[in-house]
Amino acid sequence: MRLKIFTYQLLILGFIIMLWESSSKAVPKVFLASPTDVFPLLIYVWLESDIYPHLYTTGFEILLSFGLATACGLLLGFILGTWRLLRNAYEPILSALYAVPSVVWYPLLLLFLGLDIASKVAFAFILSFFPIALTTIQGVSQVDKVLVKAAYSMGASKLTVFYKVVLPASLPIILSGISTGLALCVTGVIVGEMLGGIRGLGVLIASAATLFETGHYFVYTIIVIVIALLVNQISKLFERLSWRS
Amino acid sequence: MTTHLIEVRNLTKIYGSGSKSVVALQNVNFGVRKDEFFTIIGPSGCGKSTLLNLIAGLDKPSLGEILIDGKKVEGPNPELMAVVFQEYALYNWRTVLSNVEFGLEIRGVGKAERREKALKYIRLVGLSGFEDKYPSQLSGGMKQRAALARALSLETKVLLMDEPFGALDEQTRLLLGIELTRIWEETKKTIVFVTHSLSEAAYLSDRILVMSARPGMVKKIVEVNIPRPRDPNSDEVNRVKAMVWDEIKDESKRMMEVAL
Repeated sequence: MRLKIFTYQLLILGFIIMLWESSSKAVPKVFLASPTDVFPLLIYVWLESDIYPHLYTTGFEILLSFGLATACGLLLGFILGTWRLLRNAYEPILSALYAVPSVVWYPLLLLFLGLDIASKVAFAFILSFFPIALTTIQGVSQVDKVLVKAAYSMGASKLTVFYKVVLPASLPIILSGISTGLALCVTGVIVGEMLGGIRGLGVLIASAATLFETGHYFVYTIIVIVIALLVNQISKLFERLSWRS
Repeated sequence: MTTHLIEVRNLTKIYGSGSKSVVALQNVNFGVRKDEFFTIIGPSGCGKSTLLNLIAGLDKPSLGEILIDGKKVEGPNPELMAVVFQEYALYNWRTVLSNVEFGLEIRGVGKAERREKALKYIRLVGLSGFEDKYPSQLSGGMKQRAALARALSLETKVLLMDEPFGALDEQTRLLLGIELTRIWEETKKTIVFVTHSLSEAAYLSDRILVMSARPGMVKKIVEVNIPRPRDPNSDEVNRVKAMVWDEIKDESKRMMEVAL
């Protein structure tokens, strides 16, 4: 079964590359670089060019913004999730803010935080903080009341109820929020770098695109895809973790 | 007076305030004797679960008081009473064994003793062999057995049961009723049992408190003087059932009229 699935996945990948190769023959090279050009270039970039500082920057921005968004999102989520008055007051505001296309804040962030790392981290933070906070609120407030009641009847304190009942009961929902947040962090950092920055993968992509270096553009895009796949695997690990504990 | 382990005095519970307030219980008075199987029955919405929550200390009365062993109930007291809920209230992420250990864990009982006690009560409720299963792998009846073992493991004098078999099918319900009688006789406890099933009440109880429709009041307390072991289909049990039904049917009707 596993092998079959893998074979089918390889088939579709092969099909896409073939489609890419054949369509690149039909248009000028400046518009679409062919796989036969891109893959050798990928190896060259990996071995010879100075891509590493850019990768580190992007990676650092992702980790920092994700860490901050998770910490703040969980904290606010737990507070609003357990405190009904605050939840009724502030959850609608959070949801409304979440509905705003976050990219509108970016010019402001650039203005205040400058072109370097800080504005990217702040932007990715805004993108991923809301889903983490909102799903945590949802998870914590939707814990079955009878589970809490039973724990109180067995003499549990409020704190014990929180970490022995509320937390494990809402963990699957919370982890799904965190994995959404992680994916949005990657998006935020790359988009932020593309829209204006000094270092990072997004900066490389944007400059390759403006300079019509189509081959490099594809190389960097492939690297972004690989990062996204990696992040997706980590998210899946999170969600699998939740039911084992 | 002193023969009563549980004493409910002038108990009134009002939910909400102003014009929207609902009187759930009004001036309820009764006592439960030591080692008695005491059942509370009434039409749905009569406040019988509210009454049990108040006894358990999970809710506060508006007026009146409840005394257990001479002490006023001010909150949950896991040294004195354990509660079984209709919804089982098992923790999905814990195995049966770990669920049964939960109450002891909160009490601060050491690991070895906790395990020993949990296994003992798992055996008593007939769940041996399922210690490492998760609640989602159990049937409704087995879940309620696990919840019962968890409550028993606290080794309290009083066991409060809020429609424990309400979500189960009739056969499982009957079977668990029979086992509960056996466990009750083995462990010598005072049981307060809330139900809406006439058969359950008549078959299990020493005494049955019949409640009136909202506001919940004590309508009558029926003594069930049938020797044990009882046959759930015997004439005596059926006679008690008919008697309780006579008391309850007008109340049920009234409740339905209110709803309409």
